[in-house]
Amino acid sequence: MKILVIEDDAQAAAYMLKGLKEAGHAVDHAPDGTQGLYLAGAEHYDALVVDRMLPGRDGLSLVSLLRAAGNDTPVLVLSALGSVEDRVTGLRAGGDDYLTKPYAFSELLARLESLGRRRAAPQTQATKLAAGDLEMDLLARTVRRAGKTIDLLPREFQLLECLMRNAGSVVTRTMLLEQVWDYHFDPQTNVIDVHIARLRQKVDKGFDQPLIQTVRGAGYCLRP
Amino acid sequence: MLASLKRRSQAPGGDEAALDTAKNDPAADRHRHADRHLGRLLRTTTFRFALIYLGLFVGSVLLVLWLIYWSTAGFLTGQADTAIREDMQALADRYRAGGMAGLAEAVNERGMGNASSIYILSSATGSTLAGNQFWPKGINDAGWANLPVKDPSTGLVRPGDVRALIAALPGGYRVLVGRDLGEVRVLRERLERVIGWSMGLTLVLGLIGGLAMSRVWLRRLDGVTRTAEAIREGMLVSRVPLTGSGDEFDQLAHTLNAMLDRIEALVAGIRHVSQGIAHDLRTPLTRLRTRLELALMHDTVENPREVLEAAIEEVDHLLATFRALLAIAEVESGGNLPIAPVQLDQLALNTGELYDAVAEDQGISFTMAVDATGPAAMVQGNRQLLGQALANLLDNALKYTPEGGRVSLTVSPVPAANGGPARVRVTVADNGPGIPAEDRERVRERFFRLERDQARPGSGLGLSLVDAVAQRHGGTLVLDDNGPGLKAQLLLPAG
Repeated sequence: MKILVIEDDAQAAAYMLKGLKEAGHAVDHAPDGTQGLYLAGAEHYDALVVDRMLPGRDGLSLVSLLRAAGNDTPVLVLSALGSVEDRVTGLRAGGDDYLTKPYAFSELLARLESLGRRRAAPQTQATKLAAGDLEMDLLARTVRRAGKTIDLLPREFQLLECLMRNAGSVVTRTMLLEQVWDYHFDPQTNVIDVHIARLRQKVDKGFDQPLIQTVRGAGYCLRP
Repeated sequence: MLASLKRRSQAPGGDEAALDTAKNDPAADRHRHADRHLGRLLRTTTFRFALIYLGLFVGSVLLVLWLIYWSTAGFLTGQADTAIREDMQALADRYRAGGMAGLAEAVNERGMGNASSIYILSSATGSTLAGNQFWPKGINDAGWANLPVKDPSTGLVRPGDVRALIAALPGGYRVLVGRDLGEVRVLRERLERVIGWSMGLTLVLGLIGGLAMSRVWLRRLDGVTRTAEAIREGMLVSRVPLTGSGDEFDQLAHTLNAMLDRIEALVAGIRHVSQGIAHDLRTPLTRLRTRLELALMHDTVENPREVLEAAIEEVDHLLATFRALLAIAEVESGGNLPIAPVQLDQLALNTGELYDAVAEDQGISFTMAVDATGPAAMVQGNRQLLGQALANLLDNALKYTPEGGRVSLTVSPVPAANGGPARVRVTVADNGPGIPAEDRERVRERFFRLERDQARPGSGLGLSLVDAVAQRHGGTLVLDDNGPGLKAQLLLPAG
């Protein structure tokens, strides 16, 4: 993926750039809003990382301007303000995802990759998902693995769908909580782990190759 | 030449009050203090109001007295004029009957032994022909005149004390009839004196009253000022004294004291939170530092990855605590939260389902019952915060309930009562160890944890957030004994 990072903190930007490059992405950096806006308009990117508070032009107005100009590059907004209200205003301004500082780098990476993927394969068109020998019919709401039907509860179905849509990349616990339960807070207990364990019982039990893998310190990954 | 007229009354005097010219005594200090005190009194609003009132009062009194004065003095002067005119008429009658001789006779008759009246008949040359006085110089024209009088006892000339009517006769003869109005003047002077004194007295009494009133008000306000000063100096426990009269000052004092109680509680809360932060963040930070330090010291750590992973876990835990603190602060600060209708029954089912798996995992029987649906379960609020509150309650219940225990989640309607709105009640009940009655208030405080739970993981922020969310939504968090266990009820206004 080609990513533009608009972040004024030089050290934070350097770490982010290093991490993203190591993960195999091409990264550009803009230290302020004005340069960021120029680059975002001049080049084609798969995703933008925009800090909310920037010198020159604040992050949200930058996103609004991009959207007004017809630029629909997915934007991940970073903010040191973590409130519920800020999140809503951030998304309303045209951001596609919102991440509060301090964040885990694995979280940032997972969300960016998910954003890029969503753009590459628009969800509306697909009615069937597949990963290895696992098949999901989104219309009939059925799941089969190696031709064998797997009975899933509605919530388990959503959980698996989320993993399958991001097959090959990491999905963090917070992403699952947001996308499956629409909760934007972290529960103290790791409730997601319990739900994944149940899903594993149904999807992986009795098969030689486990599909749902735990990525330590990051989240889960469905790897065919 | 001027006539000498008898003086009937003594001028005022001799009774002026000697001014108190107090000298700077040994008590100079007290004096200065009194001066300062007076200065303060003069600047008070009450005193200014008293002055304005006094001004209006004095003005109206002055008007009334002026009316009395004019009607009295004017009446007496008018009476004198009438008497003079009647005298002149009588003299005219005599002139018509007896000619000039009759007139001269009448003038002499009337003037005889009558000291307060003047009758003069003069020739065209101005020589006095008859009467009890000489013709005054310079008075020639017919009509009314005010003549000066020389006081025989003091020799002072009193101008205009004699009121006179002069009539011209054929042949240049003239007749003068006059009255000494000294008495009227004395009466007028007395009236003026009385008016002056009453004005002075009114002013002095008004000023004293104003000062006294200001003093009373000042003293009441001083209680408030002193309390405010004490608080400014850090004595948060001081309160405005009450007189027990229940007047507006007492009500003000009462309100201020209630405000101070609240502030004191909040300050205590902040102090408590700061201590909590210091303790709860310092401990894991120390642990983290030690762990990293040890890893550095022993170059040959078998697995540096493990050390780093443990360190990240520790940091994540710290960040979670930090986030929870900020979330509580955000809810409490009263910022601009996105508010929308939330179906509490669906939110409860949603959250319950999230934790259902956890309960099953821990061997705890978990039941959900929803008695309120539709409008009865609707609240105006923030879905994320309400969801987190429910999650925290379930999290708590599952954390403290032993294996084989029971946890239930119920949503029920509470009909409107006592003028309050209808409410929705979400109850999370467990049969764990519960919370002792004496700690049920304190568990809402940030970082407060029961003695017996100190060893368990947890931040002591869960219930604080639930409480803050409940209050933010105009609801309450009620913690009760479930005999055994804890029954946590979240009551929110429906609508």
